[in-house]
Amino acid sequence: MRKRKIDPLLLIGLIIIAGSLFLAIFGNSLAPYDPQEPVGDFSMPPSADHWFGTDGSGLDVFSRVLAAPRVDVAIAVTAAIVSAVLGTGVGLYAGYFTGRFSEIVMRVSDILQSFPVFILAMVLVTLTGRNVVNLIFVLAFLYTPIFVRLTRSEVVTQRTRTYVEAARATGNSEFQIATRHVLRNSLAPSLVQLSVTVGFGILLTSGLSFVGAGVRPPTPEWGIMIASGAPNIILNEWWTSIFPGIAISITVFGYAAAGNAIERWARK
Amino acid sequence: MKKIDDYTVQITQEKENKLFLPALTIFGMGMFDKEGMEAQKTAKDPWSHDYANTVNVPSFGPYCLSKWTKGSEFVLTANPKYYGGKPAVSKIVLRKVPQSANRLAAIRTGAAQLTERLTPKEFASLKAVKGVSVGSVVGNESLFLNMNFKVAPWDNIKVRQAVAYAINYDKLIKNAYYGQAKKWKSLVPSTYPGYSVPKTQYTYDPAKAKALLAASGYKDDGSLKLTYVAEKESTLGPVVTQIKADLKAIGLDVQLDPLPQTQFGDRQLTKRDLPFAVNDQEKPIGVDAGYATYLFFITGGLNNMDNYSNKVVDDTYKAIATEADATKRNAGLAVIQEELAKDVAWVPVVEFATQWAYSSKLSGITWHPDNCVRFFDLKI
Amino acid sequence: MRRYVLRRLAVGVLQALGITIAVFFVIRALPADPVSRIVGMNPTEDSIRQARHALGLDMSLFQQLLTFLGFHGDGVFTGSLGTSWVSGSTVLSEIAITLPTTIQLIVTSFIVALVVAIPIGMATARRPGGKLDKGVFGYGLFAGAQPEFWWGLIFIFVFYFKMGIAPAPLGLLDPELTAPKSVTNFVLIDSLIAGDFTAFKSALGHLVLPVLTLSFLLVGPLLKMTQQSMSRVLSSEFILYQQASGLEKKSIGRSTLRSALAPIITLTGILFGFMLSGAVLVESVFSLNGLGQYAVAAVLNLDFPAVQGVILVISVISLFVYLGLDLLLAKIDPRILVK
Repeated sequence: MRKRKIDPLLLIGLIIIAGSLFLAIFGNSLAPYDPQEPVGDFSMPPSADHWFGTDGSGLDVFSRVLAAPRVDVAIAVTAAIVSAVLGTGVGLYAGYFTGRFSEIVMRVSDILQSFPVFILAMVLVTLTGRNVVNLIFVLAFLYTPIFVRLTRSEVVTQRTRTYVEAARATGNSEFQIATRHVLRNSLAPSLVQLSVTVGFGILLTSGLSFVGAGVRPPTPEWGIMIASGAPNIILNEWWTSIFPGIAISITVFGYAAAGNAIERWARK
Repeated sequence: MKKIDDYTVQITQEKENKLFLPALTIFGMGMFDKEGMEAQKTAKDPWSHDYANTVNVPSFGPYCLSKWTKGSEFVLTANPKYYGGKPAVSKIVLRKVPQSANRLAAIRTGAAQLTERLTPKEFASLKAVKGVSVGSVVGNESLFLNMNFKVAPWDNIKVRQAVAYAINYDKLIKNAYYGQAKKWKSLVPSTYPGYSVPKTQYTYDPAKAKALLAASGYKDDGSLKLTYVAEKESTLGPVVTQIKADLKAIGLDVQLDPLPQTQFGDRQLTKRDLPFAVNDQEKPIGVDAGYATYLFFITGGLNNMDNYSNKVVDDTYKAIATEADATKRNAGLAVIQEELAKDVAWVPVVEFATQWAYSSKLSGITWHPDNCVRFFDLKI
Repeated sequence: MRRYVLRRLAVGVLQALGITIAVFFVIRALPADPVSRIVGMNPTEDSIRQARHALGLDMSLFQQLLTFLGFHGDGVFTGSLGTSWVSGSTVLSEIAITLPTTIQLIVTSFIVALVVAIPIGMATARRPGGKLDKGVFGYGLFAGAQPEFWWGLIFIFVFYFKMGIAPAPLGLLDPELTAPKSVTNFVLIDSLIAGDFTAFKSALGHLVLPVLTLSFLLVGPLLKMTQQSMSRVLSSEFILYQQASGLEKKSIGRSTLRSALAPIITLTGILFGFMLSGAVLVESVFSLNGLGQYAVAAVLNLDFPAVQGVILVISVISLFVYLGLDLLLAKIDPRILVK
């Protein structure tokens, strides 16, 4: 029997993803201090009491880093799933039942995609208000076109395959063919993209918060933490910005690695 | 207005108003050059106001605007014909650098010789740097909390008092201002004529605050928001975080609500509907306690952001507006300030120092009520 | 070829128009009240009405759209983007100052990124499975997952603060230098035109860290794409034929590159468009006062005209970049024209 070698990247990616999801659920309770209450002297470097030090408002950095996935990862994962489901659905319909609707869908998502993403995100968040729920909606809105495109082009290819003919011959309705057979065979690119999108979502959320258009302080969120530490970096207060950045770096890498590994596996 | 001679004008007031002369000293009221302004008038802009606001100002100051890159930089060159003599510094470049950390970097490396509005922490860090001096003056800058009388629960005096007793003033001064501040005891800058210390004072007393909150009958449902200017996150961040914690300790769970400056100004000045906000940018430019009252606290005052209305204050103010005797006037102002303290018109938190960081070679920095440096005074 | 260009131009213009109109309506939904800002405190009924009229807010939404576009005077079609509600200057003039900074940053970053990515990508494609190949793959994955604003901060901390070899993050020029006479508004070009080498060096020096931050990020996907594209071409039949025919390595390399360029160019275009607004984070960290920073401030200040103007300008530039790259592609790979 041939032993299947597990892709190390996939393993690393899955471990990181699992970790991020674990922290998203339990991070807040595991934190040694309340992430939103000043608990120490201001701007203390890392010490035994505060592993990652305290920031300019006296908040414990370690606790905030642990509690942040509740916002960052939750927003990104929810938005990615919502946009994947929506996008795949619309893409399936647009790809399978070609016609005016399909064309319109493509043109609209073209236009949406040529908008400067970051600015559009800022405008939408300002419009709806700076809170977690709105961020999820905004991100989902921005990422849906990606899934629409991906699914539609895959469906268009699948549609001409013989199994579709066969299904039709055995009396399946168009709807049944679309949902039961074609969909299952067109999901691969979307699944890969899902993981990558979560990574993008985390980057976008933290980027928005960094410029002041994302979640509001003192919500623990990696982007806001980097922003609050940024002005003080040249005062040698490096810990406030460095640790959340490392967290983002590792987490997004995990999602990207997993997605990439799945893609390579699917391609084989 | 009547011209008496080349150097004198006579102004007759309809009604006597003691604020008139102090108001004339406000730096923002500059003199335009009649000929220069008239040369720029157009059909769309008959008073040349647009020209003066966006291009250049024909006037009589010690410096001339030689170059203006909007949003980025101002270059001033000395005016040799200035009536006070040619300024010592011949060229000044004012460069806009939005991030305080970058301004700090500029001062440290000597790229700039004068900067302002760094965070207290940054100013503190410069004390050890050679070649850089830090000047600090407690002038008229203060931090206060305003609570809107027209929005529940802030119309409940016990809630207002509870908040006033809940704040840990000393900790705020130490941590957020690095000691460069002192507790504000009235609602008028302590350096102004007419300032007096009311008998009603609020100190850090969380037990009393809790009792007052309970007695007020207000049940907190977590819907209260503390608004502040988003762009000031680096200076106000530590302040609002601590206030939030202090309020939580007495049972009020407020949400922080950073609002961009323009929206904040709009809601504070025009709509006057901010329920609960932190403010560190209001100061009466007219150097007089009466002016401050007129601006902020009389019913319908120009900047009465809380919709505060107190008949005693209004009446007393009317009485002293035309009072010539200084003792009587100050007595009236003391009555007003006592009322403001009793009503908790604002929660006076701290008066903080206005600071500048400058090259040790620079001298001549003096404080003025608009917190701007007078370039004419500088020598390097 | 000409038909292709014309067709693309026409589609592009329609798209730009579509974006403009969409932007217009999205922005109008923002909760802003510019009137109060103009009339100040204690406004009278009259002044409110006058302000609304001056801002054009007393017309129906449709009429406002037409005015914006330029049917009732100055508008988009006549080259005006309105006046900023915050500063009072025309949006066009403000964009004219901030856009060149961003473009200098992005273009320089792309040049650096491509100069690094293409040779390395070619080298790894020739030796698949080798150490370089794995390294490139890892780097691509890693770089694409980074928050670039954070890396900007790290670079400032290490190179400016700790090592003191980079200039302070204060914008493009040292504060004590005066900017060269603005001919094109591009500091780099203007300083060369004016022969002002101190300014040129200063600007270049201030660009080093931001460009390093951006290219660090851009190299990732470009490298990956180069590698993929090159290996695909290298294993294609016509290359095999060239090798079998005994052509020398250099000319095989050249024709490989030529065929592999297409997806790389496409990716560059996509990334460029993304960077126009995506560079805002790096711009903020380094205080560069570019278009992205201007856009952020405009959105946070609810400055309708400025936001509209910026989105329109960025979208139009993206469209032109795509068009330009597509034309380049068509020249290199005429197969595209046959569709």
